[in-house]
Amino acid sequence: MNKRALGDRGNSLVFTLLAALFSSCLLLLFFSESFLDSFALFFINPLTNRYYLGNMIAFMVPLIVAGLGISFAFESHNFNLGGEGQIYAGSFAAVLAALALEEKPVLMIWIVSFAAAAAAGGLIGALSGILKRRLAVDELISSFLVSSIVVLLVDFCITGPFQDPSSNFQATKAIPPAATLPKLLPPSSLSTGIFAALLVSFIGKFILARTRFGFELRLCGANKDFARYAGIDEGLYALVPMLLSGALHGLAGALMVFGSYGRMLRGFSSGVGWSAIAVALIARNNPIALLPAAAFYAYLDAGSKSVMMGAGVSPEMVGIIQAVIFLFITATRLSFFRLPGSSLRSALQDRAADRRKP
Amino acid sequence: MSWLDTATGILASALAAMTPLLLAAAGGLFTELAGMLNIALEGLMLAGAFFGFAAASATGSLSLGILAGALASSAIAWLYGSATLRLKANAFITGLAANIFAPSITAVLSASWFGTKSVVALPIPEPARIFQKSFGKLPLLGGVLFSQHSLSYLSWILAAGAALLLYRSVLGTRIRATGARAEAVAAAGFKPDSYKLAAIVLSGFFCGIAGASLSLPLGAYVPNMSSGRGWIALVAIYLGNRRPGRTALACFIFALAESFSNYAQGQFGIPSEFILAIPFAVTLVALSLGTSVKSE
Amino acid sequence: MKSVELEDIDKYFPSSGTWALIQARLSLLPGQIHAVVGENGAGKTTLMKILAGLERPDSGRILVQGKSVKFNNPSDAARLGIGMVHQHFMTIPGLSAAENILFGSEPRTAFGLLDRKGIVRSAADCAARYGFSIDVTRNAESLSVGERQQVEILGLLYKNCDILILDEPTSVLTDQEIRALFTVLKQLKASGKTIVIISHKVGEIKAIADRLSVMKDGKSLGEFKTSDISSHALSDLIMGEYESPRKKIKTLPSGQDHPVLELQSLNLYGQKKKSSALRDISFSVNEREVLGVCALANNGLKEMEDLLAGRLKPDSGSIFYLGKPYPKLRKAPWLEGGIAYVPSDRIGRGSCAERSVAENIVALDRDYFFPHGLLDQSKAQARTLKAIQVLSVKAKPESNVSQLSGGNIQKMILGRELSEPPAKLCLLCEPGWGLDYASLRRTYKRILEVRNKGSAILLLSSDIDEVLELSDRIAVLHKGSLAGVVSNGPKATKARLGALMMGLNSDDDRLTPIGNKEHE
Repeated sequence: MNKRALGDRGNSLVFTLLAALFSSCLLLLFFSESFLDSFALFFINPLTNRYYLGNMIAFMVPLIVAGLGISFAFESHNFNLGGEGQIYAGSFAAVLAALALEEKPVLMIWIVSFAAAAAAGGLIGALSGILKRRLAVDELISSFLVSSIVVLLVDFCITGPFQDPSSNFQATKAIPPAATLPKLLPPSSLSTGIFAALLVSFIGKFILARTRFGFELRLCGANKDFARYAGIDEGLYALVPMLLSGALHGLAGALMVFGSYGRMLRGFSSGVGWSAIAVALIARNNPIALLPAAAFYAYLDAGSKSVMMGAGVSPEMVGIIQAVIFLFITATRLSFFRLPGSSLRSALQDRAADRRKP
Repeated sequence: MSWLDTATGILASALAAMTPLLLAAAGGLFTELAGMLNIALEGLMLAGAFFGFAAASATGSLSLGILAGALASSAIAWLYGSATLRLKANAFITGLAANIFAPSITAVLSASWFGTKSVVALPIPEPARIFQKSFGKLPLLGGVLFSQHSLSYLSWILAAGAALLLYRSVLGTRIRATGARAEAVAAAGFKPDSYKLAAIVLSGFFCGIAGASLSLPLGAYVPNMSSGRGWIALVAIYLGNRRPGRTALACFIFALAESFSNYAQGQFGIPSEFILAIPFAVTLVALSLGTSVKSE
Repeated sequence: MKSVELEDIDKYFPSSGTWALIQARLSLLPGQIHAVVGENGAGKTTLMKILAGLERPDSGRILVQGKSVKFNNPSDAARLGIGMVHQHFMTIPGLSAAENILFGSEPRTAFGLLDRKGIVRSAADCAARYGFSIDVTRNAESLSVGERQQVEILGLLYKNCDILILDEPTSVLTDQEIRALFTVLKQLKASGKTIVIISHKVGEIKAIADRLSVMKDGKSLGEFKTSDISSHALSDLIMGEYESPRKKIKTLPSGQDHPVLELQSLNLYGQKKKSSALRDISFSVNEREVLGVCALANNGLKEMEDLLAGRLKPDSGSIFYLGKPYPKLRKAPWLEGGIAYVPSDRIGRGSCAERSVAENIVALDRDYFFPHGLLDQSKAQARTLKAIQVLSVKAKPESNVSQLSGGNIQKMILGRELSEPPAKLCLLCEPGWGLDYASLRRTYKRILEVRNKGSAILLLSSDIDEVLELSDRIAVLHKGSLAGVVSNGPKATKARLGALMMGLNSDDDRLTPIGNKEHE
């Protein structure tokens, strides 16, 4: 199985972003009545409209936190495809904790709920890690399977035993209003959760770049044989990054509930796990680069939501853009077809080589 | 109903459930043997299901539906393969791209063509049950084997054809050689990447038919109707040690699990979420057991 | 019968920033065996890859029968009858020997299906015509190394190649297989084929080649008739003046009573427990001593490395380090005199290509570089510069290892493992692999310096010269058993070691393994 080269650096980033923007325009052209109107709705409205801007920044929160989870997993060469389930289970655990502690002080609710979210996500991630370590089961497939099961089980809980009987929604009861994070740009859903996300990404950067744990983790990801030769317990790094990755996904889910939604709605986080993968890839697993990557991604998402409301274009459009990003983001070569310019380029290279000749 | 009827009923529906799995696994074998991890099976199947259904409802012809599903899925596979090979992108990430692209494009097109993004049910011809009249009443296994609809038989023929293509044809030999030793293929003056691309497109072709075999007999397109079968097919290939016969056996076992859980739902009224989760759980357990047995 | 000329070939590799070939030339006469000789990295393989259409020259001409030709791929070269057997064989597992031989030009029946009978028939015919005795129906995985080579040669012959290029054909063969290969090559020559052998082994060249061209640093030094040049002159041409570092460094007496590493009746079964990979191995390595263990390929050297590196566990027997059970590698503190280890697989195991030189050095002693779990960059910088200087690696601390040449990577690993203060025990596997002559001399000198400072050195090598150069005592493995342990001295000749390696020792010659226990 070839799962190599995730970290390969081409200068494909600019190309990928352009391709994403270009395909967005193309889709607008095809699926909206008035291209110019939708263009404005898509590209300009998210930046000028307070509501869309707030929601856009709010969406960055789970993208950054879950994206960091993906970065930890990918940097150690663990392929966590279970983000969807981990986010979902994390937010469910957080809601359960918050509902159980309804009368308690807010700080206590926060601590217990976020811990519960991290624990739930972490356990699910760790399960794949354990399977890999104990039975050599490929974590790429196992994390996806576990996540699929978890999503269905949480769905069952939300629509069954834990459904809010007073509501028509397929949702749990709302968490205590005092426990929701303070809003920043009402009426949008932006909350102080964004500061938590920023803090988390800086801590992530510090761990990966400066600590022994981060160094060993990245070494295991780059070359297992060498890591083993250097005396690093690679089994540990099959498990811990998956656990950490799951925990961060769980945390991302909890931040969504406490920051924006206030309750668990069926399927409310659907797609965030995959989006976090896209964000982590754009950022090349660099925790600081997660911030602009998440901003770009959230911008596209906000644009497509804005255009959906204003011009009736299907929000699945953002999925297509996401696919375009995935298609090009790891490209290490830029020409899809051999361009006529390439012969010119090689001629220039020959010239350069001549000059270096001893 | 006697237990015997129950058993043959489960067996017959298992064979029906095996159809898409078998086809997807046959497609996945091409890429596996060409040395690539193809996680796009899931998305390719979904595209086949949608375009197959759309074409069948537009033309009123099942064959054209199957063909359209296969071609649409092949086209997406070509795009995915070209990005992977020509741009030297990571196959795993481009595979995700295909998996995300398929449900999005089908939703967008479904909204624009059928005016809905949820279930589309339109009258299309039902697949014939070719043997029903003459052999369908045979006792026991006869009833099981000959009660299937034509797509199931087609899947058996296609799966055998895939094995033949892989092991007995020049193209298949080159594909396998590429997977086993790409630099040897290059040293012999061939382009390994073109064989990899051929394998990806072939896997798209088979997955497209696999998808069509989901939507056509149902007479409806349901969003996300591949529901993890592409992944399960991948696990089947893995458990089958990349051998056609053993992979088919693994597919049958997964299909049996699916059909049994459907039976159980009807019998005991288990919530649908659990029923949907069972194939994933069975696959996970099989994957864990299979891997641990293999590594010993 | 074709003549071939390569004229003024230049080749630059932008990735490593090196000129592999500078105005290189070569002329081949039809019906002769031609050797292209030179040390590692001289450009032999690159030049031959250009002739076989696998690489394109930056400038220069290829003339076949006086006509200038351009090869875009190996098929172009094959069409003119030129084919190459690579150093790492290209047999394809999963296909039969016959399918491998006919790969690319398989006879087929209708619908593009393989004519399986036809394939076997054609392959068997081809083998019979050239006097190869190989069962072409066998699976490629089940073939021995020598048989794989035969399959590759047959593949070229089947495509009617009359110019066969063999890259280091003897490097992986046993002595018997080498003799068989030479017989085959002489037969082929008699049937009119032109053969090019890439080699750096003087003895072989003298035995088989009619003509030879010498290459050094990407340039051609000239072409000779083999009969016109003496072995001595030839090795001088290839390697320059030879000086034994052992003669230059006064070796201090080894500490015979201070065993650092002890192996006691180690047994390791092979796959499926049918054969034994290592049988009843006992020896010890003392302080200030180099024990060289040498063996031909597949005789247990690899397994011994894996045992000592902790990748395999012995089925019985025990290993002691300073009288205590052998620790997990790298778990013992490295800088305070732990265990240094230069693995035989330098790219995969000994280094991490995707990381910088500094990170490759930091990785080996994280206790030291990460006090309180945080990186101490000044320590890292200082150590890296030191390790680079030991064998003068041509790289900066921050440059990526993937940009380094193979020799430089090996020097980086050696420098890291052999830097000050020396480890108590050094496990060195094929340390000279891939090094040019100057680096080799510097490396050997450094190894002996480390020995004189008191390290116990276990040298695992398949290169007899290297073992003779460095060792105080030499242990020879044959089929997983200790064929003998001899002190390095006038009696330890290449011939005697060679005989032991091939299992040709008579009983009186056989020496019982020398463990320290027996001295007492």
